[in-house]
Amino acid sequence: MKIMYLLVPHLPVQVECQKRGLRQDDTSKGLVIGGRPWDASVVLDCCPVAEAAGARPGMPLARAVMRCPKADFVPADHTAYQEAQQTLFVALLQFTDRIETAGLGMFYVETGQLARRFPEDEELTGATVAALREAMPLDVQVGLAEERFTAEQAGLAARPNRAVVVPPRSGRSFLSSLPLTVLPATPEIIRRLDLLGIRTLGEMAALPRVALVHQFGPQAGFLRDLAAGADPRPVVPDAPPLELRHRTTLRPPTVDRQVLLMAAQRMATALAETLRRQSYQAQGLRIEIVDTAQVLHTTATAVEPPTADQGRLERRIQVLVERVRVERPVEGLEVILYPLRPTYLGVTQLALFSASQDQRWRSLQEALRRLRERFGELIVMVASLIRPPEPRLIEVRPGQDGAPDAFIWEGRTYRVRRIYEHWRERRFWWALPVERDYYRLEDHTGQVRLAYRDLRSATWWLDRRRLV
Amino acid sequence: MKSGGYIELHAHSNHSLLDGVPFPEDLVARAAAYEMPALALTDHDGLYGAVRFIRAAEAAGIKPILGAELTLTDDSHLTLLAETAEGYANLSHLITLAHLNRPKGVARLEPDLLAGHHCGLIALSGCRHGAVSRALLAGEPRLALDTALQMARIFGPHHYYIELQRHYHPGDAHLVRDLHELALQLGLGVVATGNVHYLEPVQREVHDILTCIQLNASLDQTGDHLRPNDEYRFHSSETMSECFADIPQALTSTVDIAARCASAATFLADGHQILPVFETPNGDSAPVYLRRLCEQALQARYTQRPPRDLLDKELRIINQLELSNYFLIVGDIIHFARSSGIRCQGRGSAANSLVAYLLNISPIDPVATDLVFERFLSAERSKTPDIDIDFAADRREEVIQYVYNRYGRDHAAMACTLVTFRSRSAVRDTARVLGFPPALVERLTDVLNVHNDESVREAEALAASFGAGPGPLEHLLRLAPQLEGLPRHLGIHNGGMILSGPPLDTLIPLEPATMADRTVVQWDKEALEEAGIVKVDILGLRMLSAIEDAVTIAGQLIGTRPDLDALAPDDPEVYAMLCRGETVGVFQVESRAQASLIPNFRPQTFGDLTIEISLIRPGPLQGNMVRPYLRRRQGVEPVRYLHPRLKPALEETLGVIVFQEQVLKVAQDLAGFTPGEGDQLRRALSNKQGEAAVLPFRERFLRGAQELQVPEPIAEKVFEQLVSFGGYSFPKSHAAAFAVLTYQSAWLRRYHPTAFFAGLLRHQPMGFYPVHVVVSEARRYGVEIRGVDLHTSDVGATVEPGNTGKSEDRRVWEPDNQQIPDPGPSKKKGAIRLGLESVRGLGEEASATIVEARRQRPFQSLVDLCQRTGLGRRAVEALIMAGALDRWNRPRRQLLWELQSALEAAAAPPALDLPPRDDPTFTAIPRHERLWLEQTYTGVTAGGHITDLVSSQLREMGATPVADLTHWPDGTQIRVGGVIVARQRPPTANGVAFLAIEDRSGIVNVMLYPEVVQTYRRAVMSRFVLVEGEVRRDGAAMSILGKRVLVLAV
Repeated sequence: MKIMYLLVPHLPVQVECQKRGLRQDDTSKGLVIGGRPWDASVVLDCCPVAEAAGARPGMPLARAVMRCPKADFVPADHTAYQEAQQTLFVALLQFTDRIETAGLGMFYVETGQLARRFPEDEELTGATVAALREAMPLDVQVGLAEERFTAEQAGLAARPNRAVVVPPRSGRSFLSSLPLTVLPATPEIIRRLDLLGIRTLGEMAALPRVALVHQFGPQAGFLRDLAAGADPRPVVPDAPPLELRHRTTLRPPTVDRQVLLMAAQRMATALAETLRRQSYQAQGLRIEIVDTAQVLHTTATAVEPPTADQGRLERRIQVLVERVRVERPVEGLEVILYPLRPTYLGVTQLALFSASQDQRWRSLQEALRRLRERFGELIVMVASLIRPPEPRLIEVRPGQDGAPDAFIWEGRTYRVRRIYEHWRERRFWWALPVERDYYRLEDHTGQVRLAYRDLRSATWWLDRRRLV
Repeated sequence: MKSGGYIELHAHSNHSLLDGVPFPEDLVARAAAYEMPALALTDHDGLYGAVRFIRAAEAAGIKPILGAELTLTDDSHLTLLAETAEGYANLSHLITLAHLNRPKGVARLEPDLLAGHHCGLIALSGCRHGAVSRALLAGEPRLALDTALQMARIFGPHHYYIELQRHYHPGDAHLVRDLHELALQLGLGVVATGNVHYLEPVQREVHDILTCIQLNASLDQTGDHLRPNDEYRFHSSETMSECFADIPQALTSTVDIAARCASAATFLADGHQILPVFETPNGDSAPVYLRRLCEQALQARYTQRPPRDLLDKELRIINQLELSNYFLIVGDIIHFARSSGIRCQGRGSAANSLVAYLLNISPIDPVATDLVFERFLSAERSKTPDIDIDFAADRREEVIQYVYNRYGRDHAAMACTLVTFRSRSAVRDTARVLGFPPALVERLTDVLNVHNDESVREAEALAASFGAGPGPLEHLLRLAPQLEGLPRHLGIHNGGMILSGPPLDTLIPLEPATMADRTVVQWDKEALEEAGIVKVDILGLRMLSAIEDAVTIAGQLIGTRPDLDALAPDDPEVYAMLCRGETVGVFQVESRAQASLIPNFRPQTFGDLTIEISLIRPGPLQGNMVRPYLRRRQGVEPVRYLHPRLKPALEETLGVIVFQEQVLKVAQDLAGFTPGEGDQLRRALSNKQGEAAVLPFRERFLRGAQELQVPEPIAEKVFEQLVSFGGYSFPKSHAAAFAVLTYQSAWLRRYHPTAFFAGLLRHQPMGFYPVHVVVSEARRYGVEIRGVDLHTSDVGATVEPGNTGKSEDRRVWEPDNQQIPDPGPSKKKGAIRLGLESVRGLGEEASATIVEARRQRPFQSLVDLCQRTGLGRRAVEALIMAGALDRWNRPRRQLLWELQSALEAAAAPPALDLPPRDDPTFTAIPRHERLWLEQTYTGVTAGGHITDLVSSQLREMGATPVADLTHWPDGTQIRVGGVIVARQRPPTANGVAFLAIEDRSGIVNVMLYPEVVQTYRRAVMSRFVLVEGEVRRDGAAMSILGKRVLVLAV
């Protein structure tokens, strides 16, 4: 049985290039994904040109821009990347469900089940590449070997849309010339091995395992196994079960729809709990009823949007139960949730702050709707903002010293009886300058007010913040 | 006192660090423009700008009043003005107390201390941050009353005023009203002040920038810490009169207070010596004792025709200037150093003095060297001298602590330096404050280092690429240049020490330095000089340490310690060695430029050395003196003088100006200047203020020359020569003092090379070249270099007997068994064992631990080493990979592997007797890799030359060994290669770069024109290179004009 490693290198970059109608090597200036240069964030991915200039995933954007100042910096579009990821995953499902997602654009596939369908390795890898490319026209590299680490290294060595197949029992020799840096080792281990003159996987594999473990700790044994082409790790499929089922037997058999409904709802409760625990959502719902004549009645519905919410599932089940035609007593009832998807694929992060005010408001409303739908009405409580009263434009009749003698506001004239205080603000010269002369005054009605002259616009305003 | 009715008594200069904008001179100029007869400078917690302020005020005819705005422990402010000399002393003392036992830069005064130091001070209640104002603003009138009462009791009702300020803050009207009422209630005077922080409203922006820098925050983040408007400017009397028309007595108080305060100029030492009185043995006065010492030394040093007239003249001037104490103090410091075995010598202009020579301060006989005393001291000289002394760097601290202990910490302190904003720091700090992202800040700092249209365009494009709008960049371009030159923070002078008879802090405030056991005065060396306060510069020089160690080692090797002080600098062997270009490690003549000069210069005498050292300086280089001198020296062109009167001054240097003293002599001989005037001209030429300072002297010079019947064109030409020569040159005395060390180090290299190079290696880094060049040079000289050895290396380099043939002196387990070629018995000069501290990552402390542990018994094993020294993995790894454990004849990698077990065993011996593991076996490291590791871990390659790493490439590419270049004529196309050991691009060279490239056989100079540098920039900055070019011969000097530079990969 072999393991296939599939790599869509720089998946985010490929997706972004696809959006822009570019090829990866078209990006002559470089493309860095993660945000704008001044964002306090890190690089998610970068194209080979940017990589050559020194940018690296995980590097702070501020440092990346110093390495490749002419590159295009774009925010990450996680939704698009996840959709691409899911598309690739679904494409692989055509072959087998023994798929382990190793990261964005990285999969391990256990090929045991595929031996009969694809007797030749090249057939398998070719078909896989074709299927993935058909689903999503992104470059993909494939490696096939007896164990996962060798398969991974083979995949990394493959050219775009090609495969490297490591013949049986050849893993060690395939790996022998590779540098130690391909191992998942700490920098300290790499450093010490380098000092010892151990620089390739072959040299490391030649060292006694026990001695290595003593020298570097337990991790070294594992690393040596990898170097020797003896990776013990299996493929751990992360594909969700295609369905969740819950079956119950009704004794005595009944035609009472209420009884059927109650049973179905109990099952919905249990299934919802399972979904939440395993972080899945149901995208479809089917009930199967077996009557006493062993006739199977089936009805199904889509669940849109996918959900793990007990209430929603119960409501859908109710609809189905009411829909199904029952002529004889029912002795068996099964609720099936199919297909399923991981919950995280339904998560969306809203980038609100870069949007316009209207767009922000619409996005926020949509987000609230979806949250309510998933979690119920009580999940969102909106707080309202209290804004200070806006200043009001007034007309002023100034005195000899420039202070107001009277002012007109909302059509009414107010004589200034007294000026208590006068101060000046000259602030924020570096941004939106504020240049105002303030007067705290008492008008003829006895009201104390705050008025100011905005020197930049040469207008007078009544500041309604303080009424003292 | 005539006034416009108001005098500013609360003004901050930019010596209120990061809080004031104008220079003290600017404040004075503005006061003069306002026709204010007096002005008070009240910087925060210091008198940093006092001297500049006083001098500027005197020049403007304004009475300078000194004060300070002190910060008390409750963070409130109090303004103090010095009314009398006693008040000034108290002010200085209070400022010192405020800084004492506080973190650097944070001054806080305990209010209780005011009571004991109030005499002679007038206190003003302070700004909004004053305790009284603060209490009123907080709605605590009772507290305000009590505070004011308390202060009035401390200072006296006629010495405490309530300070009123109107800056159009919200609440100002109420505050002023309340303060006025409080003053009336207590019967106190009121005084109006401006609390000036800048001159013009627009400078408020600079002030905000400084505030943000101080708070380490951006403008957006600073919030209420920024003042709300631009009213903290210097207002005129008319403006203030209008502002306080309702409280006229607040204005008249300013005039009254100003009249009461004495001019701060009377507080300065101003020529009056504050030095401690030197305790003479018999109670003689300082002049008498000084003369006695000099007479004794004169007899000893001059057996024939002692220069008595010169001595009398010097002592007369010294006495006239009241500097006898000073010389005795400096002589005592020298005496301490010498009796403690600390090598030292004076340098600089002091070497012009016979008295300095007789007191052993200077090593130079000024008579024999024909020096000019007036370059150091003269009656006309308005500036006080200072004497610079170099001490062995590793023992300098002993001398500093001797001075502290002898005179007491209240009477000794270091001079400060005021670190100012430069172009880069101004751009960086301003950009940061304006909120540019860090990446953009760094880029803009690089781009705007030079401010021109091109850099501005580049900055605009850069800012746009970051999405920054045009506004912030405009602010940056406008404001950053305004920060240049403003003081930023206080530093400590390299070695300048001030001594005083009275407690120093009654003269100048002190504050703690960052270094432990050090205090600094708040005046820098310019201020101290202006104030007439002498200092002693106690400097450290590693060459002195290296020479001392070399002498000690040589003494151990030959049984007699060489007496360098008794050397006559006339050994032709020494000069022959120098002329051969064997100058690596020799003081002042090892640089690439000196190495180019020497083959043509060919020094033969001590005087030649003095000239040679002085030639490679900006002054002679920019003044185009070097080539003419060389041509004349070689006889290629005749020695000419623009006028016969110049011959006495310039004959020594063949008609070319080389020394600063020659400026004095030329001015004397051609224009009739007195020696003192000549020195003033010299100072003006080197004055950073440029042409304005020189112009008056030009007129004087031309007039004087005319009086001596010197034709005007000649006088003008000579003066232009003096100007282009400038001040960036050595005084002859300084060069001569350095030449002593040059000769001594050259002599040691010639006769005791092993000891010499060992001395150099003990005090790295020093000199022009990296340490591996010193090692290579030692090897070329026939000295064997032995690698670091755990069993025999000391902390520093040591000398061992030469090639013994013993196996432990060789690395027997090397696969190729390669050794350094035996230079032959005639060239055996002993061996240098590299010290443990040369192992990178080990350090002096760990090295000493190893040596100490080894003294008890040798190390037997790796476990033994780890157990007894407690060294960590990295340190032992470094020892192994540096070859220090090679004596155990185990491959280094095997030892590395075994280190894990050794560390475990050292930490806790194994409890169980476990069966042996199947450990791998390692072979020896290949030579190529070993060299690289040695270079990495020690900086040198004991087992070969660093260029052995690229030797095969050099051979394949047809590189000519450096030693063979001597055969090739001018213009030969050639290839040379090796490691770049020096890289220079002098500002005087118009973009030409100079490299020094070393291979096994020697070092060659390479010259690259700017276009070549640009094209091969990456290669020029790399380590191992091959240069294609042509041989250039300039007399006996040879260099390569490079046309291509290629990187050699290792």
